[in-house]
Amino acid sequence: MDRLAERLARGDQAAFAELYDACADRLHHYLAVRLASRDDADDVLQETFVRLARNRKRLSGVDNLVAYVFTIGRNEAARLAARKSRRRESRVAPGSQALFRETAGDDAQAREAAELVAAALDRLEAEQREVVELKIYAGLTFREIAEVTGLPQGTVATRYRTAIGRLRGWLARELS
Amino acid sequence: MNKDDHVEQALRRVTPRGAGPGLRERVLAAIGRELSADPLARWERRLGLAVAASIALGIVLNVWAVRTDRQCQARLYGPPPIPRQIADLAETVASVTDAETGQRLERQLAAIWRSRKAELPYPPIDYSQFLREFEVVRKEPRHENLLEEGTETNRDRRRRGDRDTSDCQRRLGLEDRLTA
Repeated sequence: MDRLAERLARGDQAAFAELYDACADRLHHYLAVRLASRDDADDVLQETFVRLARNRKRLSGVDNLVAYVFTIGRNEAARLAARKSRRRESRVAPGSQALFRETAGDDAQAREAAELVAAALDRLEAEQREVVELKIYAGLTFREIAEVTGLPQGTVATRYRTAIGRLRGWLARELS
Repeated sequence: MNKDDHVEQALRRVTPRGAGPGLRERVLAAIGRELSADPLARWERRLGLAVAASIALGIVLNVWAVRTDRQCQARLYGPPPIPRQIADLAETVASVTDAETGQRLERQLAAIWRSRKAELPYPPIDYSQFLREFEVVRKEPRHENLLEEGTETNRDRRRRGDRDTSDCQRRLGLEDRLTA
């Protein structure tokens, strides 16, 4: 990753494509959940990468590129959410169809499982859901999540365990 | 395997949809544009905007300061005074008609007086005409030769001048003062 950071800092477009392939899907899912819109997630993802390209000189000093990309994406999402909030635009949580591939497939069991997971995640508080999304679907470590969210690592771990506990209780009730 | 692992497995069993297929091209094109953009041009644009904003702010503050000053003066000294003649005339009219007519006449005359006072005492100066005249003077070769002579002589010659300066004086409204 160090070499990638240096190439990015030099403005190598292939390096940006590499970084995109490494984290765009994960980041897009996180943004779609956070912004409750896949279209907004598209725009924010693009703005995130444009911002990275604009400030590429700083990338050579970045230790963890993936965490850095998620941090920029999170900030951009917050900016867009604030703009929309000022314009009093309402946010509707995206359904499971917008989030998971299985819901569009032919396998009825997988579709049902995906809908169940989406419904369970919707029941979590925003802060808890963010940690779960970053841990499970973005594949970040607690340390990286702490870096992205600006929270202490212990708080992140506690939030995650609490969220998993709640999910366990809810899923057990639904499946029984 | 503990209970938490079961929940995590259930969550991991579903696959996020991720970014759409067309988005990659769009984002990479935007990155390409950003990488080829000249950072200096961006700074110049920002600088230009900052200068324009400063000028606009300066104008707004100036207008605000003038208005505040006028309001302050009006509060301190009341409305601006009108000439004695207008007041006398309004008084005379009020004495032969009634007080209301007198006051109305006074207001109308004061308004006319203020509007005339606001007009420029002299017609505006046509600076382009000046510039053209200076251009003609600069092009005359005779003036270049004069530089070699003493400055006293130059000044005398120019003062005697073949050119009539009354036009300039008239434009400045000085013809009656300088020729007196």
